[in-house]
Amino acid sequence: MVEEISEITRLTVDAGRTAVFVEKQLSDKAEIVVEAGARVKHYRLHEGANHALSVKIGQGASYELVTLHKGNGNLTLSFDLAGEEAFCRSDVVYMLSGDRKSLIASDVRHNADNTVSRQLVKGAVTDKAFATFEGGVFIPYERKKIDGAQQHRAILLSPDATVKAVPRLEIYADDVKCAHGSAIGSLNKDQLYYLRTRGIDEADARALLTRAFLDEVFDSIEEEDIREDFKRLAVFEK
Amino acid sequence: MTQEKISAQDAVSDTYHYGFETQISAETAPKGLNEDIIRFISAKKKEPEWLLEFRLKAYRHWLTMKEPKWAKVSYPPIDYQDIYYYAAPTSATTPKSLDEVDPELLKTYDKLGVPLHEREVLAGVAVDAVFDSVSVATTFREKLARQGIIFCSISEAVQNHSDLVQKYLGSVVPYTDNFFACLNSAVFTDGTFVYIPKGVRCPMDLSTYFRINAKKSGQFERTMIIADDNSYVSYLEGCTAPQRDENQLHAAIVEIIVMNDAEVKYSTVQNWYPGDKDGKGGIYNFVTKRGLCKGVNAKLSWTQVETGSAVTWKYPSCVLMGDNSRGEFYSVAITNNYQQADTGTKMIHIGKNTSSTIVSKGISAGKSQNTYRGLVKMGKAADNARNFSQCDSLLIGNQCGAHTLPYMVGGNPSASIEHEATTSKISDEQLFYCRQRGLSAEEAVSLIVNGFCKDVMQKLPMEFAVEATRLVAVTLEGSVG
Amino acid sequence: MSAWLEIKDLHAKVGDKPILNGLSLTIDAGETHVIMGPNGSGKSTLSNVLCGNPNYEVTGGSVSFKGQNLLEMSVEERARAGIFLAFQSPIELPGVSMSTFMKYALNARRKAAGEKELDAVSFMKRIKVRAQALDITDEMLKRPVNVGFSGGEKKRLEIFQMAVLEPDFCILDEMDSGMDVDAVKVAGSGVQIMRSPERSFLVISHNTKFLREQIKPDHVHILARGRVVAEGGAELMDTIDRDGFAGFIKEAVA
Repeated sequence: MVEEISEITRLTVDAGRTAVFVEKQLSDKAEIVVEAGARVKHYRLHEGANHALSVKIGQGASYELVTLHKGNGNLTLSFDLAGEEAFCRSDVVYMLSGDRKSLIASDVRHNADNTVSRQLVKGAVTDKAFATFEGGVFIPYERKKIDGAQQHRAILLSPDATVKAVPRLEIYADDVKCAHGSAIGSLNKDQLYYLRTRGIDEADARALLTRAFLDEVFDSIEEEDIREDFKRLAVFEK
Repeated sequence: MTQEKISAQDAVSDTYHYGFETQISAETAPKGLNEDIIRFISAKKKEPEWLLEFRLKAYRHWLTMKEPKWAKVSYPPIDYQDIYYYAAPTSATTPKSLDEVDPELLKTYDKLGVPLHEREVLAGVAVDAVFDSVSVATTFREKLARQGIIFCSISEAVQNHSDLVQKYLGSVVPYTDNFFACLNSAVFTDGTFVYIPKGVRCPMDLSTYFRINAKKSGQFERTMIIADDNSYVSYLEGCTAPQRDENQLHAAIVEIIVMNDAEVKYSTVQNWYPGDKDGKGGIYNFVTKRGLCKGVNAKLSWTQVETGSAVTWKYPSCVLMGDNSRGEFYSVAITNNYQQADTGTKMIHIGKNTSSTIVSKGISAGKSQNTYRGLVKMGKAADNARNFSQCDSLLIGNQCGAHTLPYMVGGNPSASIEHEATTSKISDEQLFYCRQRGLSAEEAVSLIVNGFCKDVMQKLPMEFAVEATRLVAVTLEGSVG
Repeated sequence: MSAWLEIKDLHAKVGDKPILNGLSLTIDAGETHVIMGPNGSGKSTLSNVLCGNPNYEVTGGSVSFKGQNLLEMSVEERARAGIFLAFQSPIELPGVSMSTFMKYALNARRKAAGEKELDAVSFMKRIKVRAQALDITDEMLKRPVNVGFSGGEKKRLEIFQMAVLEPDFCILDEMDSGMDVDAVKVAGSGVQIMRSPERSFLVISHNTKFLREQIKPDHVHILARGRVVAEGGAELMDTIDRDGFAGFIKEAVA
């Protein structure tokens, strides 16, 4: 069952429990502990000012986050894969407009063996906004069978927009499979042209393609209502 | 006793801060650095006033700077007053013959197939005659001069082509750039100068392999390459056999200027002494290399194979100013034992339609730390600029580290930056497969690592590539059980 | 005087799991043997153990090959002594071309035997002749080992390696799997060309049609639960075709 909650500060998900949380209002700082074997999906639809979320994931537990960020503050995510065979997925969409400046930081620490992490961060930045993405993957000494992946994709929609990306992979163990990618670009010109030949004006075509770019994240949400909520809310702030 | 030591140190720091008058005798400046030493260097080299001023300005600025600490390397503090800045004396440790050279080093030469007479030069044996007979520079200089190509030491260039040197010195790497570049600007004693005139394609690969080594003046090298409109040159730096060198600090600068439609290829196979198996000794290689693609359609390509140095701090970069200019960086960095490498590149896109490619292959073994650090920046005017980076790391053994720290700034919506990176290890299955075909574990590792680096090795000039391949095997010796 | 290849009461495990439980088998020079058996009976384990794969631990028994104690030899020593495994799933070596790989492998053998390295011309000749016979193009030799090839091509390249290295004892692990009819024929003809009184084959396969037409074995062994439960000539394959392995598994339990 989907549970609606507000302003998490400390939350422990008991061992073995399965939970889907939709967080309506965010606190400045939230700590979540996912105990052994628990499976959590966590959706954050709204944001306030700065907020930091740290999650500790226990043995065999799974934690999956989707969060939408519009740059009214900074977003700091940190994940501690603390138990063996812990799994973490973090999907972030950021949409910055106006003269917002925002830091989106996401850090994953593989502190136990056989842990898997997947980070997908997609951003669209327009007007004079400035986004900084800092993504870390940290694999300490002597860890084994680690699989970490991080992807960051951003599009610039205006000449005055800026995106800075600073991925950081620090690996001190050899039994790892790690990949990361980061791309900063714009909408595909051929696609824009194609839409316009079909009579769609440029503004609509750009909106449509931006939508499609970000929807990759939302489309993986299984709960239909939540998926549609995200899509409805994923618009640039005035 | 302790009391005395402290006062001795105080005396040194007095010299440092207040420009203590130093009695300078004959050919060699004493250890340490102050304005008098710099005046001495400049006078010895009969330099024009402007260059002395340049050095002094750099020195004064250096006094205000701090050693950078951001790189992922650690080493004991360097005592800058304990270094000879001029005419590094042929110290008591210089071997008189090959009999006195570390047998481990000689074994390595054997494996690399270095000819006997070259071994003496490389090992630092004081035999000038040998050096003279193989000098690349002397042999070809006349031939090059006929085409108007200038290829000489930077000291000679200061004497004979002062206007060119003055125009470009510090134009790509200003003395304010960073701590080590600033130090170099104050005290550089030698290096190479290359000028390729308009429309000339340099008929051979230029190399300073022998000259630099024989003079043991590599500590504060300064290299300048200027490729005028529509010219081409391929420049080879370094040598392909391990060097014995008692110098601890190498702080070099390479400045390259590429004009309209010109192309410069700069290849390095670097294997300064990495220290022994326990991490003792070895070179600190703190180098600032940067090229300015000043003209339209200019192209600059860096290729480096880094197997040496105890600590490497090096980011050969391209400033892509001219429209349609192109920068490339192909790098292999291998670290073993206790080596530390923090290396990568910067691609600064300023002009329209500029493009850059980065291919970096890092291999860490033993207890080493290997970091790729790179900056790609798209300026506001860099319309339709393109960058692609591929950074792969390979780990051998579980005591080493591999780090990937790219930094990307996109500031133009029509520009694109793409960065891909992977980290993996040589799989047990790959090792078993190769060994089942009869290869030893070491041969298998060397084969797999060379395969991993192939995209970069292919960019090296042929004769360099062959030896670089062998170097990979030598560097990784003892990395598998 | 022990046999050419003699496996006696071999026990081996992967991790904590025992797979071979007292397997015995004898092969003489020039013979072609086939091993059949249900999944999990230990067929692939046997081939890995014979080659010294470090992931498999021998816990008992002995293997002698041409008078040498095989189990005391490293993976590469066994390879240089003439043992070749055509892998069921060949391993990718990115950036390493097939011709470079073969040059390393051949020279490693020659060095071990105290011979000089092969010069470039003789090496290329040796490669080309064998490539042609197996329908392998120059382009395939330049490409990285097993990267981007179809299953069938990979298997063909395994046979090619075998032809280049000229081993004394060839183990073919599920060679026919993943190959189409034509590829199987090419590979089969490669095996037939290599038949000689000094060379023996151990072929692991389920495919009796392939075995009859391409391999034509002298001896057939049925493996179940890590032991040889039946031995015979080619006619044993008829029993398998008719009744499957069920009868043999019962024997293994008993």
